[in-house]
Amino acid sequence: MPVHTQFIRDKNGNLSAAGLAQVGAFFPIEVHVPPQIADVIVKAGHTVPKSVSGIGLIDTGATLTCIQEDILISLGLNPIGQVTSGTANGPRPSNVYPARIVFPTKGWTLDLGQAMGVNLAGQAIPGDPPQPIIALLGRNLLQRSVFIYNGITGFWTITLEITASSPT
Amino acid sequence: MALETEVEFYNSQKNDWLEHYEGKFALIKEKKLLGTYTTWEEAFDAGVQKLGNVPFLIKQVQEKDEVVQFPALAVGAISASSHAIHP
Repeated sequence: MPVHTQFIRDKNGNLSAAGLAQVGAFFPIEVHVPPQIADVIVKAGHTVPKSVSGIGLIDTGATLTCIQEDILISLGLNPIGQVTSGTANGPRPSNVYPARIVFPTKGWTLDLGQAMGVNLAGQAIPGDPPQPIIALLGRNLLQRSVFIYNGITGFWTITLEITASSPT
Repeated sequence: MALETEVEFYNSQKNDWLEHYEGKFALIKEKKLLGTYTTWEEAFDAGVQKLGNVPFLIKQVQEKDEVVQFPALAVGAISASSHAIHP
């Protein structure tokens, strides 16, 4: 299984525990139409919508991976399930979609059976400029990984059981 | 909310289905059970083959639904969407 280690460094190039605490464990990602759906779209004579890029933040508190719902809709995806989640305003149903996540800097592809549509508007990784978060990578992704968060030193490592890989 | 009809149908049939399909993944479109499958992936592939790219419900038949936790949602850091989807 492929491995990725991300070192968080300060402006002097030293490993930064505070920097990791500030930004968390995040990955550039692309959200794609899953291949089964892409086949249907192509057979119908339509063009498969282009993937959407952004940041995926690893969230060990989330049962399912959450993706900005507007993005899932813009990809022409339809809900294939429903979950009830606790929110600040009490329990409410949310749509579940199929999705494919690609990690472009690594060439990794991961087909996620289920991703919940959420509103992540305004969420960003601090930086200049801030990078918009489009997904919270939850435990249905982490169940296919070994994830080590070294908060004392300032790095994290993930080993991921991917669906496919391609050269970067 | 999308899949309202399907969820209502599942809830109305749940007790009967628990006797026959407990643990299986039911594939539901409107008020029809299209099949039951051993895994979620099998149900998804069957749904796409039978129906194409339209909303449908895959639901594991079980006594109690699993609790889905999203602390970031619970504290209001992010919001659950509730888009209505029309095929």
